[in-house]
Formats: sequence, C-alpha cells, structure tokens
Amino acid sequence: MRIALPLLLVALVMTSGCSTVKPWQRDLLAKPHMALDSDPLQSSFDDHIYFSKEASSGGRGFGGGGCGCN
Amino acid sequence: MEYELQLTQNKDHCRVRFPAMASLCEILIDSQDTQLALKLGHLARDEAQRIEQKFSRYRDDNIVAQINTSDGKSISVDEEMALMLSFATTLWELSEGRFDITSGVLRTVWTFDGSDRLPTQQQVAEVKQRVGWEKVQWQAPSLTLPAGMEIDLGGIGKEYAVDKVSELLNQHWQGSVLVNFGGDLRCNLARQSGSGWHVGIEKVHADEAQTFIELKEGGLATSGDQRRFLQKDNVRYSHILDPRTGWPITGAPHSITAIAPTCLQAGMFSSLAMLMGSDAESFLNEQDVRFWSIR
Amino acid sequence: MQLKEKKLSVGLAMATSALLGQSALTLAEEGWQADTAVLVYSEADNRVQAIEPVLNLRRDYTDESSINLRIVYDALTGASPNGAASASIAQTFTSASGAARLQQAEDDDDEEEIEKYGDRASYTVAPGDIPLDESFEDTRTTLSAGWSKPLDKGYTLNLGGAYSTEGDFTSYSGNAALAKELNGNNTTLSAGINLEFDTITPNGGIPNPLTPYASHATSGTSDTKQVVDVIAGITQVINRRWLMQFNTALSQSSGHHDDPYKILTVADNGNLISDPADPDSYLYLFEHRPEDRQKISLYWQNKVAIGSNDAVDFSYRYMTDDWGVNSHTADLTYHWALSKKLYLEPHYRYYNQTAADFYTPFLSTGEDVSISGTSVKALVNYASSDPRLGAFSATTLGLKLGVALGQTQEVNVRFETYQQQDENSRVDVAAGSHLDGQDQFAELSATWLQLGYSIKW
Repeated sequence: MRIALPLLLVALVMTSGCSTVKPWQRDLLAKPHMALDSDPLQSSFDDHIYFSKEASSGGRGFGGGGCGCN
Repeated sequence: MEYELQLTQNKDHCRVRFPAMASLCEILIDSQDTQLALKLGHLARDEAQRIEQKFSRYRDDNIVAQINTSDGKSISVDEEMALMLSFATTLWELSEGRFDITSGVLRTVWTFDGSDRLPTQQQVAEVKQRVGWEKVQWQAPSLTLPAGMEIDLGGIGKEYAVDKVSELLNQHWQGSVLVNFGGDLRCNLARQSGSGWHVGIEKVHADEAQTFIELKEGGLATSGDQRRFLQKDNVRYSHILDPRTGWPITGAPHSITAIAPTCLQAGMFSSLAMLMGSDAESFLNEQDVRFWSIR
Repeated sequence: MQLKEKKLSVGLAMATSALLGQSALTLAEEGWQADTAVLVYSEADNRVQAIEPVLNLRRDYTDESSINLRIVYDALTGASPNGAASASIAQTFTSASGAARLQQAEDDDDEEEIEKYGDRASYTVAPGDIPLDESFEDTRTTLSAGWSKPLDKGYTLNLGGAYSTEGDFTSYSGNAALAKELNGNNTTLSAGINLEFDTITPNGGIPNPLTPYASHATSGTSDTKQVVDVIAGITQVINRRWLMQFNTALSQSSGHHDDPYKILTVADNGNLISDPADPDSYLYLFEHRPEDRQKISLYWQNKVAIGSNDAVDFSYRYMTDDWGVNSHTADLTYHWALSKKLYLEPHYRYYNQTAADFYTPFLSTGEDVSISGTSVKALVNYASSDPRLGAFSATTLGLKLGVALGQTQEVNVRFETYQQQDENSRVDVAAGSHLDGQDQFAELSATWLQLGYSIKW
C-alpha cells in the first residue's frame, strides 16, 4: 500500500498534460545543476558512507565497485 | 493612420497587429480566446518596441546612438548588446568578412532609387576607410569604434526580435503562435489540428502565382532587392553591398527565402546567400538549407 | 569563394543559441574533464576516521560518446563496535586485526611495529562503554571505468567495470545498461544489470558461525559472495522546469554475508557468563547471517527549476528485503545560485529502517543458546547485533558552497552532519544484572567535509 501512492502519483502526472518540451525550451533543464546527478563524486562519497552505516543501498543506478564495509 | 494594437478574431485563430520596426508586425494565435490574444499581443508589442528602441540606428537616445557618436572612445555595453555584438563578430568571421555591421556608412554614397547614378571610385574608396569590423576593438563589455565609423544592426535586429518575441510568448502560453514581422517569421510548434500555418512567399512580379508553404515549427526570412536597386548598362546593382570592396554584389538573385530552426538563422542564411551573388543557390545547397530563390 | 561547409551551419547554430540564451541548439563538445575531491570523515566517540581522495577523468567525444576513469583511495582508522553488549563490568577481547598485525610485525621483525601493535592484540573495555575494537585500520583502493555510446534510433549503451581491494576484501564488478529516448527526447527508458563478485579473506580466517569467540574455530581462510543487481527506470521531462525519474531495482546476493569480526554477547538472565571452554573469558558467539539476501527498491527523484537559476532536488526511496529490513529515505536539496559564480546548497536527509529479523542486541541462554557442560549450541539459525541491521532513524543536515573560477573550473566545499536515533524495542533484563540499564544500540554521529575541484579543457 505504501508503494501505491508514489506509483499512482507518477502515473497521474504522466498521463495529464505533460507538454512536449521542444529543444529550444530546454534552456532550464540543460543547466548543469539540473542534471539528475549533478555531482557524481559527491553522490559516490555519500552512497559509500550510507552503504557502510545503513542496511539499504543504491536506487539511482550502479555504484563503482563493492567494498568490505557491509 | 497611427494605431497601437489591432485584434481580429477569425474562424479558427486570432490575429493581433501592431506597428514596430517600420513594418507591419503581427502574431497569429492558434486559439479563439480573445483575452489570450490581447495578452499575448501586448507582450509581443512591448518586446518588439523595446528591441526597436534599443537597437535602431534612427534614434538618438539609445546605446547605438551612443556608440555611433562615441568619436573613438570606448563604450561599455550591457549584456544583451554584448551578446548581439558577439553574434555579429561570429557572423563576420564565418562569412569571411561579407557580413559586417559597420558597412552601413556605405549608404552615404550609394542611393538605390532605380536610377543609373553610380558613385565614383574615389567616393567609394573614401567611404570604405570607415568600414571594416577588423578595425573595431571589441572585448566584452567594452566596444571601441574608430571615429567616423558606425554600426547598423538592421541586418540582425528584426530577426532577433521575431525569435525573442516567439520565445517570450511561448513562456506564457504553450500553444502555437506564428510571429510575423514584415515577412520574417517564427513558429514555435504545430497547430492543434496538427498542421502548420500557411505562409505566402512574396512575389517579385505581380503576375506570378503565389507560392504557399506550410510552416509548422521554425523560422523563415527573406532577403531581396525587389524594390531597391540601380540599373546601368543592363547590369542590375542590388542594394546589397560587399563590405570588402564597397561595391554591390552582382549576379545575386532577386530574392532568397530561407527556412531554419530560428528566424535569426533563416535571416543569416538568406543574407549570406545574397552576399554570395551568383553562387547563392549552390551555397545554400552545400549548407543543406531549405530555400526558394527568385532570379 | 567557398565557405567551409558544415562548419558554417554549426557555427551559426551555436552563435544563434548563444544570442538567444539557449544551450539546447549546440552540438556535443569534445573535451576532457577532471574532477578531484577529498573527503574527510569522522565519527564521534573516537570511532572511525577516514580520509578518501578521488580522481575522476572523463573524455567526451563529438558523437556524444564518452569514457570515464575513476580512482579512489580510502584510508580508515579508528574504532568500530565489535557487536558485544555494553555491560556494567569490564570486558577483555582479543582483536583479530590487531593480532594479525602483531603477527606480521613479528614476522617482519619490525620493532617499531611490534611496539605499536604490542598491546593491541587484546583490549579491555571499561564498564558502561560500548565495546569498540580500536585497532581497526584499513586502506582500500578502487579503480573503475565506464563507457557510454549513443547508438541508432535513440538508444544509448553503457558498459562499465570496477575493481576494489582492501586488506581483507576484494571485489570485481561489471555492468551494462541500455537506454532509449522517446517523445522528442522527453522520455527515457532504461534497463541495466550489475554483476559483482567478492572475496573475503579475514584476518584470523573464516570463523565458524555461532561458535564461541574465545575458541576462534575457523573453516578456511577465504569465502566468496556474488551479487546480481537489475534496474529498470523511466526519466520524464514533465515540463520546461521539471524532470522526474522513477527506478525499480532488484538485488540478489548469495554467499558469505557474515561479518567475521562481529560477535554477540551470551547472557544468562542479563548476566555475562564465562565461556565453558575458556573460563578466563566471557562467552560470546560469532554472528551468522543468511546466505541469501534479496532486496527490492523503488526510487523516485524530482528536479524542479526555480526562477532562472535555482533548483530543488527531492527524492524518495523505499527498500524492502527478505531479511526483514524495510527502509524509507527522503532527500531534499536546494540549489541556491547567489550569483553567476557562487552557489549554496543546503541539504536535508531523513532515513529510517526496521531491524532485520535476526537482529538482536545480545543472545540469552535458554531461548537462543543452550549450554550443557562444555558444549555450547545455538538454538537460532541466524543472529547479528551489528547496528547496521538494527532499527533506527537518521537525520543528515548539510551545506555546500560552490565557486566557479572562470568558465572551466569550479571549487566546492561541503559539510554534512549525521545523527542516528535508536528505534529498537528494548530487550528486558533482570534488575541488577550486568546488562541492566546499559545501552543496547550504539547511535552513530558522524560529520564529513568534502573539498572538490573540477576543470574542463
């Protein structure tokens, strides 16, 4: 049930009025800080810290190698 | 008759017209909503007039006037003017000197009134001293124009206004709008019906059939000599002058209409093609540009 | 009279997009980018300290393909909980890492090292303190490489691999992913797989699970683990300002999961008892985790542009596995452009997880362990007191400052602070016993500082 809400939200947003964004409308989306992972080294540091201190990992994509810390 | 804004509601679109840039300016909106049309019309007019006031060489109170009366002193320009000057520089480099915003002073010796009165070699040589972007010092934000030189943004200004207005309106409304400033056009996306806007290409001779094209997305611009030329000894001198020689281009078509992703690109392609004279068409073919040429 | 063909159209397109202020009309640029950063990490109470420098090199090509190389070096020191429970009496332990280093020093006949490790082979923990093994010291090096190439019809292929090595652990991994653009590049579908192969060679050998610590019975010197991860996702441009991503991932891990250095206290009604085989020590058992672990995670991320230069990043992840752990992670960052050259990014993260089914702060005789004479037998299949598998919530607060130096360089500094909070249900113990009134979970507090520099050419 707890998964259902985010899934439902995503489905609603996607079917209702997503405008097709033209290449010359990508001005804002093209900015570096708008990338989904705007600082890969930072994400890598944090992912490693949380992987070694918590039971969960990943979500975004694949990491660069395992470590003996969990 | 001087009017400020004119709104017309048609069967499947609205049209707003206003005077700007010494042309008839209009926007066609793919909607029946007159409130929307009025709102977009005001936005378009205000932006067009802002750009005209800023970049026109006919005014004495703007940055262009300041630059043209600077008498050799450095002028510091704002960000928008800096972008404009950098654009002009790039175009001057890409066209190997054919496109040059300092070439406006050549009009003082060339008057294109359909007559056969050409200037003398002496006159042209003298005025040519005051032409040439290589003589200008431009390092953002500082521009230094030697005394006697002037800049004329007429070759860029209208197309720039068309693109800026198109983008401004797109931020306010996601539907299809055709911007038309005296034959320089830009359309942001296809109409709700899926088709584009039907645009007529200007005829040179009245008895020719009208050519229509359908513009769904992109820019269209025309460069031509229909009304301004000189003719002597059966040679037609178009009003397009080559800044490198001071003389008009020969062998150029009557007009070139080009289509490109933006109105600026369409305008630059059509202007550059005219500057290539008899090679206009092969130039555009090499560049893979869609165009119409009238000879 | 020939103007250079394609270069003119490209030059004009780029000049136009510069004038109109859009970056979308430009072609991919060819070039290098080097990013380097160093992380300084520190836990409270003299626990782990680490310093981790990284160098990343990336090359982009005009066909939009790219290669990426990264090297990471990680040096850790400090103390780590050994899993035993905090008690009202002193406890002494022998450190496997310490013993290994002492042995190495003696073999090398290195007097200085013998001196250094001489008294670390065994350590005593004061009453009331969480037992921490202080001789924990390790260095790790990781090399990874990736390659990305656009293919026909809107597909992009990504391939990568990594190699990581530290004192007692080696990992090899390879991954592949395919992405497809749809809807005028407004939608991207992607799917990928990652395969990892790990070898663990603990100091002192692989302990037999759930057997007494003092006897340190082992089977073999090394063991392995294999992990397969598959991920599928969709990225969607919602409108000019809003980008959204949704990923689903499945992970299957098989092999050796036990932490060879972690033990559990065995208590009789809350009191420490002596090891029948070694009356000088108390009884502790080595932990044991299942040989298989399956995880499912759902990840949702949003990036929304605010004004012309700011942005909000909000993500949520839900994870559930077959060890009984469920977790929620919510992460929020605001990118605040103070000027064209300067930005601040305040950051907040909230995390909580439930405990693994076999998590327990200590074992009790009668229910979990049965002792008859000198024989000690575990009645449970699996048990671990590793805080990583307990129930807790954690909050991170951070701030990053970035400064652009010209068009091609950036320097940044980031500071974060992390605090865990115990959410375990307390295990009752007899009043007045050794474990009565003692902490049953070591809440972690940590801070880290990152300094980064990047340059393009």
